[in-house]
Amino acid sequence: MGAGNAATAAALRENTSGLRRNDFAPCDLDTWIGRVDGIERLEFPAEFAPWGCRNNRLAWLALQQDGLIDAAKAARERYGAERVAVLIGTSTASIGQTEDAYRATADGEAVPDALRPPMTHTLHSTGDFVARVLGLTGPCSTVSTACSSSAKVFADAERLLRLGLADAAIVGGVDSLCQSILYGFNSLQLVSSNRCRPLDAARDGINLGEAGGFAVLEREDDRDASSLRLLGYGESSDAHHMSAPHPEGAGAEAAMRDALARAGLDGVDYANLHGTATRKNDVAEAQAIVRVLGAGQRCSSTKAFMGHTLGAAGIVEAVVALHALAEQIVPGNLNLETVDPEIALAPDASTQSAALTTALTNSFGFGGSNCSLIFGVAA
Amino acid sequence: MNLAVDIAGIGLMAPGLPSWDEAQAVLRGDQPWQTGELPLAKPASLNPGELRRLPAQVKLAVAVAEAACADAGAAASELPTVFASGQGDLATTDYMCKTLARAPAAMSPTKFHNSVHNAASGHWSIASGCRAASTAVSSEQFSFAAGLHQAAVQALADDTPVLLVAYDTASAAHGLVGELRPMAQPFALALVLAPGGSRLSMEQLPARADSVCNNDTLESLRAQNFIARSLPLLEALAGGTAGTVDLALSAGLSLRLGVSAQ
Repeated sequence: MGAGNAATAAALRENTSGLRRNDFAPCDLDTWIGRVDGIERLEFPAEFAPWGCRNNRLAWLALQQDGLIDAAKAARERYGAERVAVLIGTSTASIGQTEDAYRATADGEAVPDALRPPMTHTLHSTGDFVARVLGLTGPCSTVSTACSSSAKVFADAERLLRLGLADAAIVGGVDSLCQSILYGFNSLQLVSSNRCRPLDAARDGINLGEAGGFAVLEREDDRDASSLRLLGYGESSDAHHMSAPHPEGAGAEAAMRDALARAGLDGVDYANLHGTATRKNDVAEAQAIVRVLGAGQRCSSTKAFMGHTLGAAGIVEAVVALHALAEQIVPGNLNLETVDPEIALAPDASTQSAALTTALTNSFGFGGSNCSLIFGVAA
Repeated sequence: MNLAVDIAGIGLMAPGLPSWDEAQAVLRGDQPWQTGELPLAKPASLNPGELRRLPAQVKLAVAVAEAACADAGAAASELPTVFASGQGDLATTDYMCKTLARAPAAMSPTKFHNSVHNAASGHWSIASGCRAASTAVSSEQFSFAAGLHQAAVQALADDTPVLLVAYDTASAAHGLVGELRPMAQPFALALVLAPGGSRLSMEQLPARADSVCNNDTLESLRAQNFIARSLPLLEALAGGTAGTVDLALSAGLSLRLGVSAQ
């Protein structure tokens, strides 16, 4: 998909997928992945060496895009460093570094010094790193609820801003490719050896990807620059199974209804689906969409653009929804040929123009963790 | 803004502090703290199969969650939850990384799905039939304060009782990741926070030193687990009199916790 908003918007407009054949050594599984170019080569600042790992290199790359660092600095100067929260979603955090340490010591060798720093072996690795890079000292948490992680940070930020406990929040998510997810999803027989085909009758599993993204949130009355709004969020639990969705999408339905109620809306102009391309997810989610928004809902899954980026999927698809609103497009459901007869939705395979003022995005994760976000653009 | 909530229920499991009731004498300073084996958590809401298969950390979290709900007389199926842990599940991380280094294709799908940080949250919601919102957070040494803050924020923002479950396990038995991320003692605490009261208030102040334990024999435990930083608060709650406790929330902020007389 490329780096930055312009590249992302262009890829969406032009139906350009970033998926490639798996080349993430040492994993040799036959699958396709969404791999970010240049992570290995980028110059990582020496002062942050104790945070140096693939996930934080990807975070660093994402932080350089679209003036994010300047926007965070402006918030810091306007409100004070301790009045800006940093809320980061991730599923696997820096686990790739821990995998490397185990591999390097598999035959009894000592741990190389470069693989020792404790902040490269823990969940809060990237939350702590981002706060330090941006010089922010307010509430700082890593949310790790599998694939809903970086959607839920928007809800956390809204509550902090509403109660006046912070004046701005840097929200985001970063998840990088690692062996744990490739072999883990493989153990569940959920990895496709083809390009993923969300909602298609012939879909046979997911492609894994990596991504990083951030947004700066402030209270509406403080805004002067943007017409984009977070209108609502909904959170729920399936209470059903650790790795399979509720078969009728009951938890997904609850999350969407919660988001609509908070937004004060009956419907939305576009729904970005979680749409992973597993057999179970797409059928369960489609049933929930039909019950809540109707079979005619304009919708698509954009997983075939960049793969399933797990803990980063929330921020990535929030950004996709915001591009849909800013560019007045419905992103294509790439690789769709024949909609599964069990799915009563009719997305377009390619990106279309449309008049949109509201967009919903769904993120569902292991543990039955569901989050829906609704964004709007001032007409 | 000053956040004020009631504490409707407490569940505790830590070495030498096997339950909230049994911890009272130590927390009030009537007895010295002595370390001890953590009792094996066998929460009643898990079925025999789950008790056999689930990671020890999940069972520990579910056990204190159950105890706090029982203490509060609250229906577990209705409560939104905040799970907080600085280390995550080191035992499962050790299994995953060991397997990936030796025979990656032999990965257990069950261990993989239990490797997510929200494993305890997911199993708790399944066991209690709770479909309310649930989150799982981590903030290194600030993990307890971050979880407490978030649970209070959610209780007030949505006017609902919220269950906080905070836990970190000891690292000794967990291979290389245990060496890289040492933690000497386990500690698990659950609180049911309810809006509409003021037993506990929180004010965000510029960062300052954390309060220490009144019972100085507890100080070594406080230093040996991220969640044990809750001990000065637990002492204040056990004492029954009014008091304040400072607890770091982030690099720039401390929470001044005000405990009102019971």
